[in-house]
Amino acid sequence: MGKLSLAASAPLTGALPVRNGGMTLTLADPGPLTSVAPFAGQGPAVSAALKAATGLALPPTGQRVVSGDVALQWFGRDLWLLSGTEAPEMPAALTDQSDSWVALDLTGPRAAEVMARLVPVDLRDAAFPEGAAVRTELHTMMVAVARTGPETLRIMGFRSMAGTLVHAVSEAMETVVGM
Amino acid sequence: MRLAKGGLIDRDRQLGFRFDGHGYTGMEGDTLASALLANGLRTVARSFKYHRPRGILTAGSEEPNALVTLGRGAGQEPNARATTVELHQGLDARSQNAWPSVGFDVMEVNDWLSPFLGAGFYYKTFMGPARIWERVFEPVIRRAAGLGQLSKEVADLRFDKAFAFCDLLVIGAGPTGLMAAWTAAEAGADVILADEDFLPGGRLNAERAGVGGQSGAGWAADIAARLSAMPNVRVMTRTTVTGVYDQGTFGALQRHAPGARMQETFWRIVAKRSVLAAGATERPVALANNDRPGVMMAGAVRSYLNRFAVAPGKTAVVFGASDEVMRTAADLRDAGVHLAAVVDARPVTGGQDMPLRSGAVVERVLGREVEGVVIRHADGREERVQADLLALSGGWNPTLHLTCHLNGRPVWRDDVAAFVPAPEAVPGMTATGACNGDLTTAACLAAGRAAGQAAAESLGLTGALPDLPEADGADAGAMPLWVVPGKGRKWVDFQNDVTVKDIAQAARENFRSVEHMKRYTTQGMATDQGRMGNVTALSVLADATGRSIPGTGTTTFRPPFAPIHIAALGAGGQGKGFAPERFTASHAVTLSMGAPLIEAGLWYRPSYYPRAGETTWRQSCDREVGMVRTRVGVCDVSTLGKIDVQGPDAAAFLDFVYTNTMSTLPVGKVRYGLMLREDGHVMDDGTCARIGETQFVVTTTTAAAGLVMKQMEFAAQVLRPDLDVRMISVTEQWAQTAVAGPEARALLNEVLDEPMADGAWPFMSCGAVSVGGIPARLFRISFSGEHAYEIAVPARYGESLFRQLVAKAEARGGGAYGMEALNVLRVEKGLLTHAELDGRTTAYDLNLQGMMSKKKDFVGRAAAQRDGLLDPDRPRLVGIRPVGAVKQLTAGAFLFEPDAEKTRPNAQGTVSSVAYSPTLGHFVGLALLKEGPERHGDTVRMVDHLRGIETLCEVCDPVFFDPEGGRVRG
Repeated sequence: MGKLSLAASAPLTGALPVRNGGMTLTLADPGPLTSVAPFAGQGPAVSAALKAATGLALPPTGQRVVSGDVALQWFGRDLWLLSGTEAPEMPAALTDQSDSWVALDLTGPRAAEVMARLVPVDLRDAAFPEGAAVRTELHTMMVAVARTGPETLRIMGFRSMAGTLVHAVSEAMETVVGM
Repeated sequence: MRLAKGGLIDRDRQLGFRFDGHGYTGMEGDTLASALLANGLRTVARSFKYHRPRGILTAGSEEPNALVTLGRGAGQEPNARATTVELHQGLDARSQNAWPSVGFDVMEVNDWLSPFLGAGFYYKTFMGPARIWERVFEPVIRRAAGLGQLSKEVADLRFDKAFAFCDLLVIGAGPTGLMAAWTAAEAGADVILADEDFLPGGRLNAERAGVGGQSGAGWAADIAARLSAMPNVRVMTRTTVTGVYDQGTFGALQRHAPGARMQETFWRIVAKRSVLAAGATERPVALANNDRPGVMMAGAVRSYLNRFAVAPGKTAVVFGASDEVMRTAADLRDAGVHLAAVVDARPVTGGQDMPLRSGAVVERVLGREVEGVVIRHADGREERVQADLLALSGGWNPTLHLTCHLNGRPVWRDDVAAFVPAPEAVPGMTATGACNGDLTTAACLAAGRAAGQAAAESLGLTGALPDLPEADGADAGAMPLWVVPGKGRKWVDFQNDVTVKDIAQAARENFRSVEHMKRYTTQGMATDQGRMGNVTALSVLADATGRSIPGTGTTTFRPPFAPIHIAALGAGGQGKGFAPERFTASHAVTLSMGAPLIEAGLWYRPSYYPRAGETTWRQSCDREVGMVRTRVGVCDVSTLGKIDVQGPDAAAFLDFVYTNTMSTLPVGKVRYGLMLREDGHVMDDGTCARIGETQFVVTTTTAAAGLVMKQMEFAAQVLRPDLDVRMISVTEQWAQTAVAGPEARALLNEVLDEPMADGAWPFMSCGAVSVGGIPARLFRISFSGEHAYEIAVPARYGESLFRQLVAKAEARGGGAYGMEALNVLRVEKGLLTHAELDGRTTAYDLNLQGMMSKKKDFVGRAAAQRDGLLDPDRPRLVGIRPVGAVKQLTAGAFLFEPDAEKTRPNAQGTVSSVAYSPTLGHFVGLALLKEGPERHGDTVRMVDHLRGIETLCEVCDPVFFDPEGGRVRG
């Protein structure tokens, strides 16, 4: 411990959880986040290293795999996001993203209906089953959306815009409930 | 008048509504139009140009006449088509474009003047100078000619947007669409069935002919209910598909039921296949005074009779040239309406119980509201009959508009005397049923089933084919009927008041091309895009120019198919929805200190931190500058872009994206860097820190963070895919705080777990440190010219660190500083921001050509060598300070030779940034001046024409304070 004591602040989300019409929007805690970008030709080696360390190999584009608290989510071109554990050594660019993102869980029977007002993504069960993940645009913000449960969508957005993200999702919940 | 029985209305649910201030009653299931007719109203609007009384012409979204304003106050909605407005309790509607009332409108004088107001009147008459046109003619004309008005107030109406995806989008829920959707759904396709009406069924709801042994409406309701119950079908009523876009994308406007929280939702629907089953639109016959209230399309008459149980008149004349004449007459008779005459232009027999006039035409309508008609028999004999309703049928135009949205051109079919969609006009779309020229119910049902089956099969799906229900398949034997000869004005475009005469005149004046005729007469240029009149207009033009209709051509249709609220297109963009709000980690501290916020892109940053006794921003700013120059200041600089660059080739990659060399940078060092756009102009500047052999942290300006990331991604993916490098934004990850001033090091040593050793951490060094046990990054860099650092901690600790740094700085006589002070500090030092890197400046202009490495290639290098970009006459960076009587400088002002005339051609440059320097006691400015660096010591005149400020300035080096840079290294 040093001379200062630094307190961690919560992202400026506004009041959470938001409950409306049988749906809830909660702040999720995915644990430490590390972006994993394998260097040229190192995809298999990185996948093997991750498999050995976490039990999870790199999922294909548009997918998210989970083992206990650890998840590995496709996050863009040659890019994955490891959450819930520290990254092992591997031939990849590893960058701490733990404070970059806020993760929100939208749960309820109409979660996909709410998100259909926000993201241009096909969220029908067949097209976006549990384990599906995308990067997309929400309200001009870059976000990542994944289906983490039959009725749960995880929305990740930038920490600095957490308030706007929560506001947008809450408004869409209100809209859908009011239909 | 309401009929005693029948109709798809709920007679138990009476709805009170108002029209033009009078109270009326309608029923659940009514539209505003049917309710007005039920209450006996005939004149409900005034026309656009001539202010002629107008009634209700149709029963659908093609209505050109009955435009009304809904509601009052801020949210009033002009130009609603009464035929599509769903009646609800308390609806308050009124007529528009009329004064003092729709019954007596003084602007009807335009109608008396109509001989002078024909096509081209404005072009020929108002030829005066542009100034007079704008100030006199246009306001007068706009007041006289026009539709409803917005309140011009901010309305509390809610619109929203949504996205949907499906295998098959079926547009239209008439017999064709229902059959198509049903067939595809049974095969397992994900189907969206959209219809603009609040009741699915299309014309089945308007006709008495049965389908599958029950009423058409009953069959439609059964199928719609069946579809609604299927998990793979979404039935969207009140939803108008408004536009077709690339890749199977459709725009669709959904109106919500009266009383819903949302007014409308604008959908973007992506469909693998689509079936257009939009039906057909009945066209009027051009005959004299065919626009009078009481003239109604025959199909609309049947809609009002059968669907709404409303008789639109007491005594009717029916006119057309197909078996629909007799069908309409029978419906009227059976509803108890007296038939004055049934006029079929074809020689027909039968209808013994009807007052049939075979081979005759209706030549003219009598009365301001229909009081009778003049019938011209085949033998030339004229007959006058009294009537208050003329049901008119000129044939059907397929509603093919959506097939034109990707530039498809309709094709003419002689057998149905109409344009039909060009095959494959929209990839993946099949136009079928009435919108493809099939005009019987049986043909529509079959065509719909075939289209649904084909769509499913093309998706690899098959299923049981629904049985085709029995339905009427008799061809109506229509004969083309466009214009009835004779005198008088015959309306073609009811909404824009275009008559046969106008089109003929256009042709006479050699506007023979359909596109020229359209613009000269305004035919088809109203909000309905000529849905009712365009084909008739073509026939008139064809006749006037001696060509066939297909030889004359056709105009096309653009989105939207029906008018859309702009608010629906911009849904979600009001208030906080306009743009995301981006807050730094220290935002709460900034607010608690009362700092006014300034927007920097999406970010909200503190302008200054006011203290007790300070009444102007300048007082606070001057104090904050002084703190940094003499003690220590603290500023949140988290908004600057930060990019983590890693990889075996990271250094080589950065050499490629920066003008200067980064590969020679030792680990633990920072270098200032410059990036160009591909066109050779400066894009951004910033620092590059090497924090490991293969890892760098690049910083960007706040404004250009996204641009830089984009350009670096482009360079990595496209320009240099050979380099093994990965990058990701870490702007959000790190809260970064600048600590600047002579006491910066002492202050940091109070907070760092391991104090900096004497001599360690020289200027432009960087490395890992620890604060409160938290791993942090420290950079010895300066944007103030002072001994300064930036310390970065994970964002969650940013607020806590900032708060404590401010407290410790205050204890030393310093404190937090905001954007104003930051700007003054950097101008005093001649440091650049996007006021100077304005997208037009080159490295040469900014005296940074020395940073353009000659030893390597980099983005923008070749383009930067162009002659024009190295012209010594270009405005280049200098400092200016006031030397005349006026001591103020202003940004944006022009610079002139002291004796030159102060006009634009004489301008020598512009002032990019200014600040009052409390350190030096006078204004300092940065400017871009022709041959600037060669003119240090010269005097120029600064002129701010806008603010009326002039002063003489001395041109000087842009670094005003501590030019040797001793302080930053100390």
